[in-house]
Amino acid sequence: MADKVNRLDKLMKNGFLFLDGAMGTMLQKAGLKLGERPEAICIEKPEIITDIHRQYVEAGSQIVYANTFGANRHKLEGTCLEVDKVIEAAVKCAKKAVEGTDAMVALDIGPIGELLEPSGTLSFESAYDIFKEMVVIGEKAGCDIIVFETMTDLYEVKAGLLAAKENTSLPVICTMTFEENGRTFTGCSVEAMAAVLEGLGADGVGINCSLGPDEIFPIAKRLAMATTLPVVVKANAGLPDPITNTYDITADKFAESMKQYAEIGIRVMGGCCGTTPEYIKEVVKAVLPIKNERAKVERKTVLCSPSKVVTVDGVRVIGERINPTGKKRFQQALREGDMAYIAERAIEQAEAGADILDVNVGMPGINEKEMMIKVVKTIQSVCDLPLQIDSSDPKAIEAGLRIFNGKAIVNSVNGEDEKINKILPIVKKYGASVIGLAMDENGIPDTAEKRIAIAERILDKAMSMGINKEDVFIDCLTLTVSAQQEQAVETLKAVRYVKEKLGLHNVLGVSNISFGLPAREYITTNFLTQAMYAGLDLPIINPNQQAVMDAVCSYRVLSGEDVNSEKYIERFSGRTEQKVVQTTEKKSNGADSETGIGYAVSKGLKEETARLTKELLKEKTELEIINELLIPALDRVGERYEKQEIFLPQLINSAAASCEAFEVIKKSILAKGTGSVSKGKIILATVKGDIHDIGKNIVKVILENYGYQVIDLGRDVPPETVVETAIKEDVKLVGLSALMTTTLNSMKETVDMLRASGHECKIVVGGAVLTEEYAKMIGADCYAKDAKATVDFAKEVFG
Amino acid sequence: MKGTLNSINRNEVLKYLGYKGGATDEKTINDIQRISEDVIKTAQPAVTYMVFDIEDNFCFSGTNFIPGGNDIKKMLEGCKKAVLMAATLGMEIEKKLRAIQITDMYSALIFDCCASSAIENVCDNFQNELEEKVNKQGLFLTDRFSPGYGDMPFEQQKDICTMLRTEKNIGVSLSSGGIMIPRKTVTAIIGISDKPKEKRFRGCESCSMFENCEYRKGDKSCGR
Repeated sequence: MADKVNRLDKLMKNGFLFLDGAMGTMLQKAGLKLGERPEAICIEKPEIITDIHRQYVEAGSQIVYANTFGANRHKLEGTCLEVDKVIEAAVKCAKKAVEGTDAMVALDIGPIGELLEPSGTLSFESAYDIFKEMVVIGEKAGCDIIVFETMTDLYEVKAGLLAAKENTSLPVICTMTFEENGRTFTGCSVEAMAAVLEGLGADGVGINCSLGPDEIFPIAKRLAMATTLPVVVKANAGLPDPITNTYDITADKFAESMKQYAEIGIRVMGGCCGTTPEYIKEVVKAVLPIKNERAKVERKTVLCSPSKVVTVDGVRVIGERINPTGKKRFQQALREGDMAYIAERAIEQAEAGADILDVNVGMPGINEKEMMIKVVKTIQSVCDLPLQIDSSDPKAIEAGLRIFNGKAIVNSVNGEDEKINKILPIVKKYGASVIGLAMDENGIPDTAEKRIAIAERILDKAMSMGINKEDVFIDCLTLTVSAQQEQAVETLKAVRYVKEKLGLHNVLGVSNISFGLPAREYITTNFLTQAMYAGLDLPIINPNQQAVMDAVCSYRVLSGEDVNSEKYIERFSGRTEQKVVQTTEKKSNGADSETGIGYAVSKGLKEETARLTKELLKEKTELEIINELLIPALDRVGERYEKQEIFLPQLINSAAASCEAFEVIKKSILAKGTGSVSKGKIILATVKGDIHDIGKNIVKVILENYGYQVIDLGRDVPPETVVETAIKEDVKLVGLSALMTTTLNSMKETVDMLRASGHECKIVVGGAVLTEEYAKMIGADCYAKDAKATVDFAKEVFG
Repeated sequence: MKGTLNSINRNEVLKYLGYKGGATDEKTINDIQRISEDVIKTAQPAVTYMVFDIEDNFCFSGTNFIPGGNDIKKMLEGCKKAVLMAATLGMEIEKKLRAIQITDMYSALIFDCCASSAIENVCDNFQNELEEKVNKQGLFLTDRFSPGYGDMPFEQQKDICTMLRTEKNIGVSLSSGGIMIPRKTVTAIIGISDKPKEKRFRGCESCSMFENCEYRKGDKSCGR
């Protein structure tokens, strides 16, 4: 383990590191108006800023935060201020104030002011660039340390921390703002913050703003249990009054409250909104006599996204379904860039009980690195499970780890030196966990002992690179029992050793065990059960297979994890009744009777529609089903919608049911390899600047149900992307959506650019603020008032 | 501070869903009920506000902010004070809506409409509480007016967010296109007046005739 002394610990004096208090509060006292940029004062009246810093130094602050909180490119846009000028001026003010003392200057960095993807539109890469600009200027201007504070989005902090680590050599503190429920506004928990930022190499982590010292204390306590790094706290002077805009705790009360932090060994502290030099002076006086140390942190294996922390202290299921190997439908989705299909696989596994999702996108003809970025972004936009980045390509692994918002697992390294030397440094840099396969260039050893030897070697290497022991997992490898029967026992033996003697977590891909045997489920679940008893805690399985998850669920009862068998009872109650229902529901599958597919579609019965489609495929071709049954059924639903006999929810429900039929049909076609049923390609996009996409998504569902292949470019789509895709994919119909008056301009721009490109295509536009007139004016071919109208136009275009 | 979300107006949801009277089937009604409960459970309603003195030129005292357009000025006429407010349902609603859209567009649509109605409820609850408070001081509230209503420029939403520091106080920021995130967020101005001011018509969805109104079926209103 890397035993280097923490860089903040080195800065402490008398066991403490005192920070400053609020800048904004002091500036308001000096006459700053609400809504004005505080950064401007560094240039206009630097002496005011210097004086505030000096007061803090005199009060005992060892680090003062330069007035650079909002000095980023985004926030200064539209003002006459420039990032470099502001930062240089601000740092100069602070340096002048600390002259002749040993106080230091921090480059203070607050939130960019615009939310990152997926909830916002700012990309991770752009956020990185914005921070990079600031930290490079800040270091050059002479800052001693970098602070990210008042952050609510872990992704944004990650971008900032990476920018600081990759472009400067300064120590970095990251503090985030939590609400009383222990989460930030974006849903990030303190534990997730600790796991991710410690892994990425922050020098200190902590909490600032939003609450007073008493409200923050329980959260800080949790943080102190979750990290070995110094914990940093800057609380507000209590809570604000909306009428007077003042805070409710006096300096001496504030100092009194800060004592409880010192008592649990938290030693880096200052104040946030509402605090002044007086507060800092009182805090210094109050806590200096307290000499308590932090309690020892019990290290646990933690994987996380911002809002979901998975602690590996029992069996945790890794879902294996995001992987193209042997799955034609998945391969097709990757080739077509059909991210919705992949998102659905993620949600499905999460609902089936997966704790972690393996992500593998390697297949011939696909740029694995690019695809990894796209898929990771997609999954984390709809699902909060931690991910396992699964690739043999170090570049794809790094890309995945970089873009993933959380602490991931890398799958995998093995005993080969080349793999170890290439992949482990990436694991270390991004603070991930790693799976070591118990094999090397000579293949899989046939004895448990030899596999264990490789495992030990991987562990040594990992630890020598500074990777914590609890982040190294071993895969003792499952071999097919029908081919190498004696190996099942060896694997189990190795698993037990890894768990008991090496004290590491075990990973195993389980289903391989039963390959080539009939009724595989029995062998698979039996092996899984034995392996869990031997010490397997991270099985890689298909959580959609009921029997497999049943085995995990049962194991958790017997191991004592599922207290009072609660989850078990929840899972199995009602299981027998379900079977009865299934058998009685078996009906005929004619076209339009109350039992036919037309009826099922009109009533939005998804499972029934899928089942009937499978039945129908025995007698009819795919195209016959689509043209003779599904589309007429949808048309009838559409007519009723137009007559206002039914409304949008029913229309969508029917579309969703027929979607199930299309899924069955697609799979059938892929299995036969007989081309496609696509009636034509259509691009859909919500235009640049707009992020309202529910309308566009409704149109997509309906179009797909008429057999069109929809290329969904998403929302906030630049005109160039629409044009490029239309040309590259030779698309004859482009649909654009905008909900806001403010974004109608980008719709016009997109239409203009499409026309200017010379690519021949029809353009249909829609959205709440659009009118027939405006559509004509901007040169669209059709204004569609709803999804049905879009389909009608598509029929016209494609015949 | 925390906001209060205690009910979702079914009629309002039906209106958003495009219902124009006539039969409302049992399934949809049940689904709206179920999804409303989910929205109420998932939402993290939060409100932030500040009270300002209004100067003669309608400038909010201590700032450079003057609300644009004539409509808002008409509303604020005679008010010595005004409230700037922002209310949001929080980020979890945003996340959940994104996920449901992948697996179940039908529920997603209803969820979206329920959430739109829910944010109005949060605003109403805030306004009612505030009204009680100011009534005790012998003062009255005007209607609630948001940027984008009437002739007030939508872009002033940004100024309101900046002044209220919504990013820090309730976790609301603006996208580069000027859209508030989380999207189920409302910013508004409410005047405080020393005389009661006439309020606007509250909309068909608060009328008991909502489901059977002949006017509505024909896309008209009774003119109240």
